[in-house]
Amino acid sequence: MSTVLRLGDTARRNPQSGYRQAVTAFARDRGAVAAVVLLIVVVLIAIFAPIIAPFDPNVGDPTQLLSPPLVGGHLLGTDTQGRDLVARLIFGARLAMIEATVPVVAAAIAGTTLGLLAGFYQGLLGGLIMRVLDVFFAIPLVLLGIAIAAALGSGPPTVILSMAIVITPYIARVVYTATAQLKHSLFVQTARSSGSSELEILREEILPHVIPSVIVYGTTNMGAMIVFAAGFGFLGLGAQPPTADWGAMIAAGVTTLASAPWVSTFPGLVIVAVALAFNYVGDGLRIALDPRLRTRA
Amino acid sequence: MTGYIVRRILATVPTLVGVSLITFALIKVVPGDPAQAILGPAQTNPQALAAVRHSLGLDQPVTTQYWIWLTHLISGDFGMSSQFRVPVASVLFGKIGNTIILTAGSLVFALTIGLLLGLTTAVRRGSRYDRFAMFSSLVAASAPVFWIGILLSYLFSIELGLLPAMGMSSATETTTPLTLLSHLILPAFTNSVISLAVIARIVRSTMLDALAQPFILAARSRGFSERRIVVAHAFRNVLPDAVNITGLQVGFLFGGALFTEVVFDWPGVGSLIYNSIQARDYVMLQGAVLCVSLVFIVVNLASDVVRVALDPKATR
Amino acid sequence: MTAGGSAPPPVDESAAPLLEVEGLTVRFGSPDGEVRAVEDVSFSVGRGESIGIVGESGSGKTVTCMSLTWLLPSPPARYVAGRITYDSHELRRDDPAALRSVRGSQIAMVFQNARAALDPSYRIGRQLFEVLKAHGRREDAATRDFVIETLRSCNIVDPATVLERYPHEVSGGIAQRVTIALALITRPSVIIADEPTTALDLLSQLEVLRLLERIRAELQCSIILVSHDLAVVRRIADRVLIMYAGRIVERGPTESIFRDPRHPYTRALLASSQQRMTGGRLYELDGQPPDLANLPAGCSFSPRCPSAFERCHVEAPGPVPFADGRDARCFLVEVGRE
Repeated sequence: MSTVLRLGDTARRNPQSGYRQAVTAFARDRGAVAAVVLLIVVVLIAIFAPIIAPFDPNVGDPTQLLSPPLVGGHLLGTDTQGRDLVARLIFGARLAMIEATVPVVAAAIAGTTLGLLAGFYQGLLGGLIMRVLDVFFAIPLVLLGIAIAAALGSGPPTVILSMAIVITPYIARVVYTATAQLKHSLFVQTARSSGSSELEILREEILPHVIPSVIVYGTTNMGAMIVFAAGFGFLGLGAQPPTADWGAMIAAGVTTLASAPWVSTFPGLVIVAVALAFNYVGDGLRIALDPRLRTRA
Repeated sequence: MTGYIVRRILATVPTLVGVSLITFALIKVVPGDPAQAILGPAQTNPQALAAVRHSLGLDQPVTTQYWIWLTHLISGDFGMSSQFRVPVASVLFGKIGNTIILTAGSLVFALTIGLLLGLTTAVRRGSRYDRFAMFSSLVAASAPVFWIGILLSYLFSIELGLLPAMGMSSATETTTPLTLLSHLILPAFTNSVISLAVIARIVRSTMLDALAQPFILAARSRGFSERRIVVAHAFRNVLPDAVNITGLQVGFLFGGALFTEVVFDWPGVGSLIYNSIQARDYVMLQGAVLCVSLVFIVVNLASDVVRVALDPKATR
Repeated sequence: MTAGGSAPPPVDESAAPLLEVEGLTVRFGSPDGEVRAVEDVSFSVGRGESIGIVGESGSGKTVTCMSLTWLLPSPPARYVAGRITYDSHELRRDDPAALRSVRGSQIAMVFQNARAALDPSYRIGRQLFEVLKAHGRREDAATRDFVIETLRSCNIVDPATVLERYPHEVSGGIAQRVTIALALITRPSVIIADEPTTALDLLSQLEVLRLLERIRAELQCSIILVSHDLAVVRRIADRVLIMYAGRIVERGPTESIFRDPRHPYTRALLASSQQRMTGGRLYELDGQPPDLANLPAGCSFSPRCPSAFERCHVEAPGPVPFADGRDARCFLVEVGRE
């Protein structure tokens, strides 16, 4: 099974129509479209947080500690310090979206570069790069990320850096496999024989066909990134209190689980919803970008 | 095939070296002065600090430090834990055992439920059961492990009082295999959820492929019962793939145990790592990461070998 | 009528047909619309009779023969209409027990791609025993001898060894003979062979056809042979059904059709097959094969028919009988034109 997503023969001659086909195919997938809408809503909420949030997320009301949902104007209740959950979730969205997207983008850039180099220049350089990446694959992903974050100190920047480091090898491997396959394809041979330099070949012929795979891989895994980032927060490695962090919010609700289960439940629901949305979008993209998959159930 | 095994084992050596380098580097990047950390912030005497640094070997070049550390490692000396003040090795190996128990339990759940779901949804493709099961598995795979654990412990432990929520054994009861089991169920199931969902989806997909094969239609034309067709013919051809993904999942389960152990206070390597982070016991952390990676590498190696043994055509 | 070999048992035309198909209509859902694979197909097969179903790919011949025991999984197939009667009892789609007892033991199938019809994970012998066990036979020494004899009668030279082999370990010819053995091992009354010779070289093709003739004579079973190759059908079949775009467009006794084809499609088929054999100018049919999701109004063959007139493009012709046992879906016949 080829990991290279082909945009179809028309796309090779005219990339524009290939992308247009992909967009229409994507638009037909109702789940994916709904997911995109949800994500846009979340992004908007994150951007306009100060305006939308009903209360200050970091200031608690001492008279309303652990208040259940729908009481006293707090739609989802309050936490151990009397802080409104809705407000904290809204502000937490900012952190979550940044922690989910920035590492993936960084890893995409680094990983694509490494993967292209390793896949194209197979020999010593390629072998070396892949060996080094193999080491990263040998350590369980979560463990490595947490170890790095623990060593460097807690806080969003370390979380972002750690996640970026940990995901880069996976993207590099996807790009490596695709490049290695494409290297022997017909149009690369044509370009080579017509005198293009290696850099040109990489940029013009191979990169455009590798990008869709990276986009799909990245978006599908953004959901996992949200969960991963929440994991850091849960362990106390993310943003420090009182800043709202979805993962940390879940952890904070554990001690009072019996009396106030909503404190841990709602942040989790939000995480699941966003991660699920990313999964649908990624799946939709995968089907839209690979014409062969479009007719399958 | 023995050639493949030997080559595969040899290939792990550079990986092991690389892992050791990374774990070593981990301690080195920790900000702050280790000597200061040991003596405490009140100690400002430069000679005292220098003495500690010397005893830690910190005044040597980095490569020498690495070499010393590596040789200690190979002889089983993982260093001293700063929180427990005992050799790391003595604590570590007991905890690994507990994590293995947890992982084994998760594997049982993931495999049995995952296989069952995959089989039944493939046979009833398109039905409401199928769509519901697939949607649920997608939701489960998108949820954080620790949140699932918290929800489950709330539901079964607090609300229903059916199962214990904490630890491997109860302080009040005597430990029997039964009590161990009752403590194991919730954490093992929690840890298995994501793998369960993955296995279910893959089994379903390979079953659908198998069921579309011409020999299935041929079998039906010979008057075999649906059960015979599904089990003896379709599933039989799916088995190698199922074994393969299980191997991959073991490593994943081992790594994911961290959150589960924290939520359920299960005394394994994961809890150890968590506590070490809190206590800034970097030596212990380093040792634990190394140990887990080692197990991970060995498990992957074993599953690769099994995969090739079952199907000699599949050398990569 | 049929060349060489042992004489087929005389067909008793007054007796009730063994297998009767009425109004079979099968459609498939697809992203481009509903595909009409089989439309209103009716025919019958007498005891000991041999029928050939001829058509190109997409004509509906394979779907038809698979539907005789309601074999296709439904979704994606949609059985819109149809009634199958076997041995004077209706074979109902909603009676799985009855279907299971008929399939493989009374009505057996031989598939085109032999290796694909065998499970690659089990030895050949195991698969043969499996069929017998499914229909009540015990696995013992007598059964084993029976299986070996059956393989031998299918021209397999070393049956004992073949029993122990896996499907991928034997040649294509042997695999094809094994699938035939699998079909006749329960001594069925009807054998449906879907393109049994297509994947084989010429010599093996002849062998398989001779084998089928012998089976028919010795077991006195009916044979339904599906093929796109007219020469193959001519050798074995007593009667022929020509299919196009899901319908039977012409039918009749084999020699009669070959001597006097009436439907333009039948003529085209015959002409091209004869040209191929005599090496003359290749007869070509205009146009594209029919799009079963978007069939034209009127006769499905009309876009490509050299003799079509206006009525053909507007109305779909029903089967018009014109001679003994002959009918054709064509207005030319109805109008009496040549």
